[in-house]
Amino acid sequence: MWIKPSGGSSRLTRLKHFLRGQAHESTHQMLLWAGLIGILGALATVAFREGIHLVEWLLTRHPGSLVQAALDLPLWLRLLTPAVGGLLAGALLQFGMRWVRGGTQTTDYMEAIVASNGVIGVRASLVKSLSSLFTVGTGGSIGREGAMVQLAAMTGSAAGHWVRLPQGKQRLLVACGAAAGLSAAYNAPIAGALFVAEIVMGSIAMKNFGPLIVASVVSNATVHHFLGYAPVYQIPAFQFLSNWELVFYVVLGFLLGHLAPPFIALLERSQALFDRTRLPLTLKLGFGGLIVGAISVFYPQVWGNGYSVVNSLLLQHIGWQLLALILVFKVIATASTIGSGAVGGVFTPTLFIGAAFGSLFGTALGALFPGVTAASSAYAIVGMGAFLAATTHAPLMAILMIFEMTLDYKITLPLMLACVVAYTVARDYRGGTSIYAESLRRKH
Amino acid sequence: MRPIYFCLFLPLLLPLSTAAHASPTCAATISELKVMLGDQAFPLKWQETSMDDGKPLVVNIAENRGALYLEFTKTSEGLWAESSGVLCKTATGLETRFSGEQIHVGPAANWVLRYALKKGGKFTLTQLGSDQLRIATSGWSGTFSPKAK
Repeated sequence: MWIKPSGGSSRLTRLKHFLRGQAHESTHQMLLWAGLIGILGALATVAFREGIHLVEWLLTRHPGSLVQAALDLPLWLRLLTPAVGGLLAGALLQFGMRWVRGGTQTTDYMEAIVASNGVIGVRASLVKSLSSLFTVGTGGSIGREGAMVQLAAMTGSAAGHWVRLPQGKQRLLVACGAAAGLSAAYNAPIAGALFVAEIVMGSIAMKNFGPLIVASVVSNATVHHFLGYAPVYQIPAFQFLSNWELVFYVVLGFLLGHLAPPFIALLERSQALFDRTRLPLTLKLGFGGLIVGAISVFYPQVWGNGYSVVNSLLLQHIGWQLLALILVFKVIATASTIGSGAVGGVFTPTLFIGAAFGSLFGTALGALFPGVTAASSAYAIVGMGAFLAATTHAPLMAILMIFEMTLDYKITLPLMLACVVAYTVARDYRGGTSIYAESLRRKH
Repeated sequence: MRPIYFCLFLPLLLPLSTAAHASPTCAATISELKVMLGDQAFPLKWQETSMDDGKPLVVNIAENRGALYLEFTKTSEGLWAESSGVLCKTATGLETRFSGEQIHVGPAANWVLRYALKKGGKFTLTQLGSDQLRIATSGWSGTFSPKAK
């Protein structure tokens, strides 16, 4: 007996066939798909942001800047909130994964693009994103953007899987989702598309780069519609005082290039140490949170991904002694959060470390050569880019991303120089690996 | 009762007099505010430096129909909140209380703030040095620097 499909499901089937046709017909039809993924990816990041606000509200009664939330909490709550968040995030990971059946699909978008069939496990991704929500929303020293990019990439995977696209196009849709996520999370459409093309796919051929740009642009426009538009960092007017000052930026790049490999090694060492404890995942994440909580009793600035502290050091004076201590403890907090197995990104904490080191470097130069060098905020901005280039091995992406995050053209000269120097020192001189090495190693 | 016994009650009156002296002083206008703070150069426009979304709040302390008025505007998004009232001195800084009717939460504020302030509340302003101000209300706080005109 034949069962006639209902009107709704019939329309859905027609849509499915139409979309599949669009993707199969020709390469340029992929642009339509890319636009669709751009919208879906942006919506996923907006939903995640709102989710963070909700978790923050539930657990701290203070949505918004996590550092301000920490400052408003009594000390005992400042100590315990990241630990409770870690326990919840760990329990979600530990027990939520039981809900994920047939867990052979990857949840890593880089792996999905370069090494597998381009399918990201939807349930596993949702569980991990929810876990990340609790870590991030309770002060974990980790980037919220990692989960956003993951969710956006998942929408690309789910859409492609739904209409059963061939493997190559399925992978391209995941890449479009990742570009959309990066574009929405960092307000950086050019850098988002370029990062996925250059670093993940290993090519900027227009066949692939075109859809990535479309996804990135549409995603950025969608996010502006919901969240408004502004550069991520507000920077004071940049003064480039003399060509000789470029030498100082080269030195900054050189120093940060040397620091990147030990930083990556520290993160790996921290993961190994947590693994050696043989604690269940729930307790491991809880312990990682407890370390962040203990540090935050004295230095609440270690909460969160570091955006608000970077804005503070760009816009107001923070004494170098305090900033140096914040930098040291932020590195420890980030190593503890990431080492414990928490889900999230390391990209934004990297920006924080580069900015804090650059600001200290600029302050020292200001004291040694008063009136000859730019304000320490200029060095903070360049430091962000240089450290990002050194840890990701993607100098072009770092230059574009910092430019898009600040929208200050005058900073590009020293930024370009410092990024290339930092990258070269980190990769060639120190022989360091990229922070994405593990994911990308599977490609070869 | 002999007059000398009245003297025994004098120490009891002393704390009352001290309490009256320490009671918060309030300002309802800009000029009263500057006198109360003892700082004629107290900036009236401040910009947030601790935001995590790239869109700093700008708070403007002004007078509206002869009363003090606090207006918070979110850069590139518009009105965040506005409230009128008096600013009173407390042990830690300044404070202004408002009812649900007195506060107007603008479209730039998120749903959590709307919820937190719908029944009224207070803004506390704490100076953290000559060029930093911390402003807080339930569910939100931020650090501000004077905004150049």
